[in-house]
Amino acid sequence: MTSDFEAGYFQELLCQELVELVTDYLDGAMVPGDQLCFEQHLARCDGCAHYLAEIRKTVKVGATLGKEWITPAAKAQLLSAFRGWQDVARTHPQEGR
Amino acid sequence: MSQRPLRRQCHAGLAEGGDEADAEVLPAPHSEPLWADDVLLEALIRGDEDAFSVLLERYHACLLRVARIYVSSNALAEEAVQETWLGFLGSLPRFERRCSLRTWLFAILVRCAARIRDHEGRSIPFSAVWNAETAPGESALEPDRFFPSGHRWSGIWRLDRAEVVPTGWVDIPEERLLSQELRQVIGRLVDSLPAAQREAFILRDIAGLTTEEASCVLRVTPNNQRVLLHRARSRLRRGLERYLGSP
Amino acid sequence: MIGYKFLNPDGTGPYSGFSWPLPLQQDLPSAWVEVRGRLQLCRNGIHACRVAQLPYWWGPQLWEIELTEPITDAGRVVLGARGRLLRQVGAWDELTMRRYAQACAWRLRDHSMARLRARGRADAAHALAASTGLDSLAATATALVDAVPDEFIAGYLADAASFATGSMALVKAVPYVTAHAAGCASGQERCPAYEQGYRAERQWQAAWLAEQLGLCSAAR
Repeated sequence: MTSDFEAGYFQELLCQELVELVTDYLDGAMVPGDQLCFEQHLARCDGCAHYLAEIRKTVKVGATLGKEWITPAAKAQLLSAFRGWQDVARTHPQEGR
Repeated sequence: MSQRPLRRQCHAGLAEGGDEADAEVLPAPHSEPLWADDVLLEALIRGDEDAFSVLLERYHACLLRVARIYVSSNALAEEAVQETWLGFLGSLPRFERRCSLRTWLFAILVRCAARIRDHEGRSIPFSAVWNAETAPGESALEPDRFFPSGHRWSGIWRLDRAEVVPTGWVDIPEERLLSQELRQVIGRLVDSLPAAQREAFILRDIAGLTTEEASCVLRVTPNNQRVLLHRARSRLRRGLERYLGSP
Repeated sequence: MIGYKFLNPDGTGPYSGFSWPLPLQQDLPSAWVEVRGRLQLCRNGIHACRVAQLPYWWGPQLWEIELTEPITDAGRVVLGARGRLLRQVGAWDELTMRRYAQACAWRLRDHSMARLRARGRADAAHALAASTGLDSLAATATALVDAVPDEFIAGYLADAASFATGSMALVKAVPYVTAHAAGCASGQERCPAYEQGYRAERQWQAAWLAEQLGLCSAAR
């Protein structure tokens, strides 16, 4: 690990660039030097820090959609299918293996 | 859900310790739920009905949402998902574990849904042909929220117009963020996303698939998957902002 | 080595979210924190600053941290495998943050005056010299933006002076504004001359912080 971003010209990020990098950042997909640059920008720019927070909250709100429950009827039907499959597996142990 | 579900890889391996050399390791930032998918898989093969029940609760909603991208009605989506679960159970003995359980599950779903869609005679562009390089560009934000080129702060937030600078929604309490009200709003917004973006968002942010798993199901490169996810999140944030901003 | 680290008010790292064990008592260090595996910038390791690196960062709380060798320098941070918090730098509070921004703004005023004089604009320099407070400095500098449009430094000075008396969101941007302005005054962006002016300003900022906050000289 070298300080090659001190040896070279350290290009600061623009806000308009940062907002297009938030997904890379949250995925941990940035090159470490770029990530450091990203975080330094956040340190001094509340606008961008807030934008990142809004994206995180958007995902959090979106994730609540996964909590919709399966209807009891659908679940019962599938559980009975599971039991049926179990019976097949027991009576025909060689099938599909 | 862990504290910071989005930063799974960040500063991994941080450990807390005493003065001794072998310090205790804290749990990883992204902790696995009580029954991880691979544990469920083994239980399923043994015929454990509870394991199947957990799996149903975990993925059924997301399977329906993805199916609904391909087919034209909720009824057809339910049909696709029923078919998926049955197909999944039937194929379990043959499952070679070359991919994760949920990748397998969603891959079956996509096949079932696509078959029903083809039978309907619909044509939605397959996400497999979507390519970030050739698709038209899309900005996360309107350019006029930043100082224009030529200005000394070109590309920086327009601090002279307070209403365009993000607030972080700090004045919205957590209860409202996780409320039924906002769930309905985000549901409508997700339903109105372009197909490929919608699928990427559902797989990554609702079903919780990893980059690799989602790329596999979407049949695109990890980079393309990330562009789709980025665009989806940007649009959804904008939609929420508009909704929250109006009195 | 002794280094410095910004933390959130709840003791978490601003980017990692890692919850730092805090000292149980004043004047006592916290528990040691250790990482496993290879040190990797932004991925694995305890990140901290030497005093010279502090101006590139900002956080609600400033802590003194002890890191044990080996320590890796990574440009604007250092990385260690093992560290513990020693004490909070209590002097780093909102009042000091504002004084810091104000000091940066006044220094940019001095830079601007020197530059204007050198470019034959003695009257503009004189107008800036007459400013007694930051509000009047901001107003004078804003007027200069129109009066001498090719003197870009007036614009940065107007920003620095008005931000320094604004909300904390604006205050925290001032050190960057003045460093950037100093860089621009030295040369075009992405050129060695810009870098020189920019870094010189950051060095001055680090010295200001070291003196005003009573930071450990061994950490420079």
